[in-house]
This record gives sequence, C-alpha cells and structure tokens, in this order.
Amino acid sequence: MNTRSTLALVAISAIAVASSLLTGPAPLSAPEALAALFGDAPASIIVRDIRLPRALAAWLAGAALGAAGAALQGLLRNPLADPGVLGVSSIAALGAVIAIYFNLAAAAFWVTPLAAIIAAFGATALLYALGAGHLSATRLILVGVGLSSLAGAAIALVMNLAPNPFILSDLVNWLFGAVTNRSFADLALTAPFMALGLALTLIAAPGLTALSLGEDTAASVGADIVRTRTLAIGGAALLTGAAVALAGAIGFVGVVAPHLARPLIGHDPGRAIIPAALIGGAMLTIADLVIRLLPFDQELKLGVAAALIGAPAFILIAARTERISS
Amino acid sequence: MIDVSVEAVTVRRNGVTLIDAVSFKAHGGEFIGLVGPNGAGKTTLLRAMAGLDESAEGDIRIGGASVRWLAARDRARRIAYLAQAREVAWAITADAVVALGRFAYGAPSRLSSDSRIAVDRALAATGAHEFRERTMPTLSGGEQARIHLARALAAETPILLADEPTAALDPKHQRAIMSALRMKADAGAIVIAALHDLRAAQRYCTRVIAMNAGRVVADDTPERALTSSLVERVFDMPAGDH
Repeated sequence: MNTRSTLALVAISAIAVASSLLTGPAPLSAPEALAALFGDAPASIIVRDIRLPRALAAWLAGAALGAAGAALQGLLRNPLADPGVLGVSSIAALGAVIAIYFNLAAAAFWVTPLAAIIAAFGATALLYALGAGHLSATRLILVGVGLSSLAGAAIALVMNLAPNPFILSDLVNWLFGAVTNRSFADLALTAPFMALGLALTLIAAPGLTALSLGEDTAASVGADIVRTRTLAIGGAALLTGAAVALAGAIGFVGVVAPHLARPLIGHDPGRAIIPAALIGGAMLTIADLVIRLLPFDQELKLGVAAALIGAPAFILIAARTERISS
Repeated sequence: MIDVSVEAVTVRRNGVTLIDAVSFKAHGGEFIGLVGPNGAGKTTLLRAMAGLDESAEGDIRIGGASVRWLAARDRARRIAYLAQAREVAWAITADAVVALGRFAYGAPSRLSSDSRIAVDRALAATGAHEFRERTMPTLSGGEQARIHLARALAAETPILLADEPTAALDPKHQRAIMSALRMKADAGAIVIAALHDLRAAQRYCTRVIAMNAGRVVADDTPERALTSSLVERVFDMPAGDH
C-alpha cells in the first residue's frame, strides 16, 4: 500500500471517530464536544465516558474483524472466508451466552467478554485437535461449518432454556451485536488480545503471499505451511474472540473489509491485513454513527445494521468470485 | 557439479503403493524426461523429490545431503518445483508470481536487487517480459504457463522438477518451454520433467526414465529407452503412433 492510500484510510478512520463523538441524543456543537473531550466541561461525562469508548469499541471491533478476515482469506485462498467460517465467532458468542445464562455477568463486568475470549481459545484448541494445521483449505472450511452449526444449536438450546425474559433479552442483545455502554475497562480488557492477534497474523503475512500459488508450490518456494497456518489461525482466533467480547456477534465486516482493501495493495494477501483493519474499523464506526442518526424509536442494533449492509455485499462478492487456475 | 541420488523411494497411500523402490542417480547437465501412462507414479516421484511428501520412504540426496532434513528455505534454494496444478488464488500480477520464486531469499514485499535481476533473467528466458505487469486472469493459457515456468526458473536452483510443463499448450509454446528447460540443463542444472509427448522427450531430453505402475521400467538415452517394444508394452499402443 502506498503512503497516500495509508494516509487516506487513517484520515477516514479519524473523521469517523471524530464524527461519532459529535453524535448522540445530547445536542453538542463541535467546539462544545472538543472542550468536553479535552477540558473539564459539564458534557465531559457524555463525550469522554460514553461517546469516546463507544466510538473506539466500534473501531477496534471492526479493525479486528477486518484483519482476521484478511488473514483467513489469505490462508484459505477464498475471498468469502471470514472469522465466521472457522466457527470461532459462533463459539466465542456461545461462551458469552453461557456466561449470561448463568447470570455470571452480574458478578463483574469482565466475566462475559472473558468468557467469549476463553471460548475463542477453546475453539482454536479444538481446531488444532482436529488437525487444523494439516487440513486442506476445503476441509478446514467444512470443519468450521460444522463447528458453527454446533455452536448455533447450543446457543438456541440456551435460549430455549432461558429462565426469564430478562435473560432472554440480554442474550438477544449480545447476539445482535452492539457497542452501546462500553467503557474504557472493556477496551483495556480486549485490546491486548487484539494486538497480539494482529502481530501473529503479520508474522504469517509472507507465507500468506506465497500461498497464493497453492500449498505445494508455496512449500516448494520455501514457505513453512504448518507455521503459517498456525500463526494465521491463532491470530485470527485472538482477533475474533476479542472482537466478539467487545461488540458481540457482528458478521460480514471480515468479508467486506478485505475485499475493499485488495485493490489498494495489488491483491497481495500478505499485504491486505493492515488496510483491511483500517477499512473494517472505519466501516463499523460509520455504521454505528448511522444507526444513531436513523429516526427509529428503538436504536437499530449494530450487528443488524452490519448484516443489512454486509450481507448483500457478501452475495455480490460471492456471485462475482471466479477461481483462476490453468 | 550437482548430483542427485534417489535411493529406494517408496510412497504408499491408504495401503496402495504409488511408487515402489524407485532408484536412480542424476548429474548436472542432464535433462531427464520422465514418461509413462497416467497413474505410473510420475507426479508422486516428483513431489517426493521436491520434499513435499513427508510419508515418502527411502532417501533422496542432493550433493550428499538428505532432502528430508533440509529446512524449507534451504531446500527451496536447491530445488525448484513446477506443479501440475498452476493455481493462482488472487488477481496478482505476473511479475508478483515470478517474484515468489525468490521467496527463499527474502520477504516477497522487499525484493533484493539480486532477486530483481533473477526475476528479469527468468522473464527474459521465457519471453514473458512484455506482459509482466498484467494480472494473471488476463493472460492466455500459454502466457500463464510461461509465467509459472519463469517463477520456477527465477529461483536459479541447481535442480528443477517440472510436472507436465507443456500440458495444454500449442506446439509453438511447447517448443519454447522445452527449449528453455534444455537451456537450463545445458547451463549445468539437473532438469527432470514429467512428459506425455514422447517426440518432445526424444528431441529435447538427454535421458529418459520410463515408469509404469510405480516402477522404473527403462532408464537410458532417449533413443535406447523409447524402443517400439517399450512403447507398446508401457503405453499399450502400437509403436509408431507416438
């Protein structure tokens, strides 16, 4: 990616986050919001403690999902792969759902996000136990589909058993995905996992570039396929688990962000991770901004908005995908 | 001068023996045509020689060092492998594909000047210079085949293994690719290519190894190996039809 596109993507993210600080039920002008952000004004609580963490949570979750999607697409050589594909998202959501069901969330704010991250780790461990490091891309996708279905069924079971409508409503909220009422403590809990996950996917990046030519050829030019797989899957699991922990189950960012990033970097899967993160972050921040501007009585859930925009985009990408080989 | 020795290499999969105790030695300057009907074990042998089949029994030595114990990068600096399936998953440029041939010499995003020169030489050897900036899906089958060969040549390895390098190409492109492989061998490398075109093997190769049902059934100069009785026996067709 050249310096100009990098700067443009960073600028878009910065503008999206800044606009997010100006948007909400309390009417604040730009100078007021600025004063509240940096100074000590009556509105400081609104801007610093409500709007800023919300904007940053949307950006971080989107960036994590974008990076995870780019890494998995490179690994599986499939533009439709995303964190949902390996089943990691669903299992992370299942972890959170179980924590909510047993009312563990009442004990401390960090229980639910931590449950999502632990479940994402569990999903990764399970993938390794099933031989993910040695499975072909097609088999890995099929294993992921199986894990997703299993997690979906388990989530449905928990919802069936929900003892009262309050817990059911909590569950639904989580599954739809939202970044309302996030605090800096939530960010501090999840950001380190995201940073570690991003680092792992970036170490895998040269191997992902080599994998463009298929596994045999990539191995023959000197790429360590098992190491690349391990790093990419582990990194994507960390990124996904942390994103689900922060924002609930949000789909399609992981497919759409890398798709938009690819033309900027000559379609090299190894160089798509950073731009996909920047685009994913901006996308989710803007989506979260838009749902606050819509004139509905009930605010639309972020995950619902992401799916309403992302699913048609996914269908378009799927319909246009052609495999190139000779 | 480089030499390769293949010692009793056997590959079994799901209880089926794909190649059975294959042994031969090869020396720098040889262009070996590996011939035999479909299922004879040509691809299995080439993959084992490239170090891509961990289950292969026996030993493959390059200049005395066992392929099995070489690190991925060290192996890639000695052996280039042109697979039969020429997959390119993304719309990357021809130039980027050829540059991946230099993977063992540094990250693809930061190509050294040595690697840059090797890529240029490989593109020149295959006559692929003029379309190097185009993306792979926009190239014809013949152009793609030349790019994949250029990728294998760009590694500038002493050994090149090519699995049906001329498959699905018209006669003109077949000749261009066979000439490029012969030139590589003439420059001192060992080139081993699985071929279906026996005339091409006769014309360009210095040696022919014929395989059938996982075993070597002939190993000699093209004239002496490709006798009419061998062609009848191995390919199950009347001599003279090839």
